[in-house]
Amino acid sequence: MEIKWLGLGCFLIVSDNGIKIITDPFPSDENIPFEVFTASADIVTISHGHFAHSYIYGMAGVPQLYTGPAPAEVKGIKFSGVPTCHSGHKGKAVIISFELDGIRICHTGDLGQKLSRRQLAAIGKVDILLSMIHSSDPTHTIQDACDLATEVSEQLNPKVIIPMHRFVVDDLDNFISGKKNVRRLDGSEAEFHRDTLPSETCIVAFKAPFK
Amino acid sequence: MNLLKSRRRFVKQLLSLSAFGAASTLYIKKEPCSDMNSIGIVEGADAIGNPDYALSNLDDGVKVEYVGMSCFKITSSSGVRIITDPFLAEGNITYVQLQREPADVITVSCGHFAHCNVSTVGGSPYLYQTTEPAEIHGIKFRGVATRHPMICDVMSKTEPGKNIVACFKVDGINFCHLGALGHRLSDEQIKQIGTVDVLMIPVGGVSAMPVNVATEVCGQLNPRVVFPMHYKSARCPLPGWAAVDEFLAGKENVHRCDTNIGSSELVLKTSMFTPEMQIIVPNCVF
Repeated sequence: MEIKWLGLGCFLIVSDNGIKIITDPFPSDENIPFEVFTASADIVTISHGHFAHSYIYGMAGVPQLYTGPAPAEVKGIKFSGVPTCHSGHKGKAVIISFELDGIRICHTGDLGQKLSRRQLAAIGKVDILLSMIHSSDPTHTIQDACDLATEVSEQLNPKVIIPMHRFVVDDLDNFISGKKNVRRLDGSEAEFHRDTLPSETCIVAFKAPFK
Repeated sequence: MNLLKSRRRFVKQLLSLSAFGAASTLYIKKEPCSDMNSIGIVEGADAIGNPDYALSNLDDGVKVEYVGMSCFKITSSSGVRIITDPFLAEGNITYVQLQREPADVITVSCGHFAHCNVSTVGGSPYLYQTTEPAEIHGIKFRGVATRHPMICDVMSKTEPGKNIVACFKVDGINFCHLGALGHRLSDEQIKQIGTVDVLMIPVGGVSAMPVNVATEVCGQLNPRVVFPMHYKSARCPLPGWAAVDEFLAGKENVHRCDTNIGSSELVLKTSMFTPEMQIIVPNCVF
């Protein structure tokens, strides 16, 4: 499958047989330096209602939505959602997981807490973690947010971590500092296959797709 | 909402509806639906996952529930659930927003947060916000391109001014949801919209057409039933907007379901249609 980062929490994931999934689409806005997605997708997942994560207007076609948390099977793909606390206590956000091409993908949404055992059990195995490394909590420093993301990734123990970070500050350097197995890509997309996933946890840092 | 709660609520509504006189009991006689399979059974539906599917066995006709703003939940007799223009309860909007209400289709007219907050809808609904016709769960959808007032451009920079009028036929009844339509319709648009039995029309002005234009548009489309929506109310005290009374002034066959306790869930059947246009002001479901 191919994973392409479009900015913020939005990824375009294309399965081997061509199913397109968009996560957390954002709008066109003067404060968002990424290109809004206006093509079509088969499935759109939305972790919560904040406008930078739930903006679907302008997308072409007739996609199916998954917002969770109840599990659903959409176009043959099983989705499940685990409600969590949004960072800064700004409501709830859902961690959405699904399996594609034999790979379990998990999108952390706007996570603001370490995961409880119940949440971990509900999420299950994770191969690729799309991890929010920014916090909306005004009392958190960049380091706090990165530390939380690090703790959560240790809890979930995925094979690949793809950090999704804000553009205003370079959270990425904070997140990867001191970690082994970090690959910085020149581009914003990469291919993944079940048989070639790393055996040790690896951080794959995409280049931010500024417009 | 769980099966027991919605069943209880349904029975309460049925009782309160029959308590009113003939004037408020809008029972449209149902077109005989031959066999369930021909209407488009919801994929994978069963009574536990979809209480409306179970309720549909008690009922024959299309259920219409008003959530607030321009958001309606329409349930076909076979249990297909359509939600129009889901909103985020923010600012002056104090209607209770949906809490991941499961649905099968969502229609969205424009990109403003009061119309496109799909995160409040659960299940795995199809999103219809296009002018390409589509058939979803056996129901044909058609979108007609129109415009909304530019003042509403807060969040639709992708397609500024664009408003999609959603037309769909459920159980033989032609629904038309105008979204945030900002103007009277052109001949071409009227032709594309086609026959309208039930019209959902914004009557608050400001970020939709002026109130007098709303009356004109009713004349242009000549529906049998009109549901005014998108107006100022106690739960939505938007400054400068018109209350629904302005649109209703001087009109006949008005049923004010919003001023009594019951009637938040209406059942429409085609036998209810009269040659005169009926206006129903729905009560909110929450």
